[in-house]
Amino acid sequence: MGKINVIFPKNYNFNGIKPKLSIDVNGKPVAAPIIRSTFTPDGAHLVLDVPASVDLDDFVKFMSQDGARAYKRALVTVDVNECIQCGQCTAACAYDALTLDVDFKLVVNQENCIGCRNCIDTCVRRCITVY
Amino acid sequence: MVERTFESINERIKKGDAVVLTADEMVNYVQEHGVEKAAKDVDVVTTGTFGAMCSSGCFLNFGHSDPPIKMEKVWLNDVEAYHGNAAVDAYLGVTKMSEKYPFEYGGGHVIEDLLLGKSIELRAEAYGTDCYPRTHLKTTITLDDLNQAILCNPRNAYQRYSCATNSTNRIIYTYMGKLLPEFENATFSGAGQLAPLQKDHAFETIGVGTRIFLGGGRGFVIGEGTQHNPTNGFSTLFVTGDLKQMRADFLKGATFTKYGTSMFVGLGIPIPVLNERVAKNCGLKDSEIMTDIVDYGIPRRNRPNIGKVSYEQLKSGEITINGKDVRVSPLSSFAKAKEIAGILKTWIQKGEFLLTKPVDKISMTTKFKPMKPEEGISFVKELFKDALTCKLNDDLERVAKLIVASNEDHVVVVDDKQILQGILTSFDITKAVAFSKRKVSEIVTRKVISVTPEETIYELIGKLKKYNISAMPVVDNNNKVLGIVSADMLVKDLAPKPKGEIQGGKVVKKEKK
Repeated sequence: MGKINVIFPKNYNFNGIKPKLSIDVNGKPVAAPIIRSTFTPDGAHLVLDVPASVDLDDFVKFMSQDGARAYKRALVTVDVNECIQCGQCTAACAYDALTLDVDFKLVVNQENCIGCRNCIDTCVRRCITVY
Repeated sequence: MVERTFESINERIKKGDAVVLTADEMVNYVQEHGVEKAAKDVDVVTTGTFGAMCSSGCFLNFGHSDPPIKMEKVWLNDVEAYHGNAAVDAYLGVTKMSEKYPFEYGGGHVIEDLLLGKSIELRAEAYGTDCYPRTHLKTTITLDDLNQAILCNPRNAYQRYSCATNSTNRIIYTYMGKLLPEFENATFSGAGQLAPLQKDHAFETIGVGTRIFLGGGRGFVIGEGTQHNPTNGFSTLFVTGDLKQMRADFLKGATFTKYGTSMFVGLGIPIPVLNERVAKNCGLKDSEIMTDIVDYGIPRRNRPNIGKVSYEQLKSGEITINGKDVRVSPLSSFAKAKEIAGILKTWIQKGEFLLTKPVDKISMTTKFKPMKPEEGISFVKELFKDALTCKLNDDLERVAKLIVASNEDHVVVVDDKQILQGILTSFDITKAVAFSKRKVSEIVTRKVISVTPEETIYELIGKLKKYNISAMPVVDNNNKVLGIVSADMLVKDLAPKPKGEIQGGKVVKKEKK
């Protein structure tokens, strides 16, 4: 059992996914309840609770199709329209999920995020989300 | 030897001939070609900063309503503005917080929303006068509706700022951001080699009347900033500008968790390269600009200084504190600061921005004084008294007699070297009698909350409240007991002194002589 983050692009065809998220993974039906969902004009972000009977790697692979991206780890996202590149979050992130590049622009390394949520309240623009 | 004047540089700007470099570019140019050539080749160096400027605010004039009102209290999107001026003038400070959403929305956010063209709720109350009869007002305004909106920064363009870290064992939330326990991280402010007052620390070119980039528009330096401290490398400027021509990209409302709201302000100052001396200063590198590492875990005016560090180290993302590698981040945006220096460069290159010769000098001798000591008690060391003490193996009977004889409620348990071992209250003794205990060691509370003499009474009160206790031993750094301090003593000290004499428990007013 584990948490999977899936980012769906705009115009993703959700026909294969029912509201309670029963998905046929490699021919086997899997019921993965939606823990959280966020819909924006740019697409959707769902956090799914995947049952123990399913191999997480298989699930991630299966979900990462048709432009969707699935992540096994926690996921930090920064709203680039709101971020002012102050960099304060980078001092709170001990896992280099949030770093500054040579031009002092914020770089989000999602694969490094462990979900400690230490960064959220450092953001003066309140534009960091961690799932 | 190159000599330029403001006039000669402006002539070149008008012709489109001026050579303009950003402060970053100038640093490299001086390093590559030397000061002499840099002075010869470069006309103007542009600087930039984009940091939280808590002193900021703006003057607003709303125009008169009909029937007219002399506003006594005024709110913009539930953020109260200062209204000690004329009928429909107000001053909105960026750290003033919304009454509905404190800590999340404040004056800085209102200014940003005004610049975004959003509609702002204006609410006012008044007592009503013969000439201004109205007592209530509620309407909406936009930036266009205002007669004037004048941004004011009484303290901006800090020459440098300290690097903040935290020695305590808990997370602290400060105006320097979130500081993790035990030096786990550090934050710093100031733009280093991009900062205007690093490039002209002697105020050779910047002065009263200098035209600047402010919030995406044009503003002016109108004098030294508050807390201006040039003798210590902490110079500041007082700047102002017309908010109506500024941009939301360069004035951003900000929220510092558990501290409050503020606003990030974009500022850039052009430095005319009048001579080689100015060119040399403009070549000052991050590695040559030092600042202090300060422990914000100690909430005192003089926070302990625990080292020095260069802006080059700070900008590398990691510094060393007491031999430990510490992650460090800026509080102000260098990406934005670079952008500002770049925009100012473009303005000058296009001939859209001319330099102004100062009409007066900025002081180089102003001192930044601390506040005079206030009345009353501020620190534990001014308050505590000798403690009754006993040893772990003492008989409770002896301790009980001690308590009776001295009329105290607490006895501090120490060892032979006066090191803190525990605490006993008179209630503990009562319990001991009820349960037939005989020795101190059988009933002593070993886990004791204590204070040091250097802690403030506000920290003392915080501990008394947090742990729901009435007294605490005062100890030094080695846990040696120096005395005791109690809630009673605080009450006695803080309670207003009776005006008159106390007779039989009642205050009797003194007869006027």
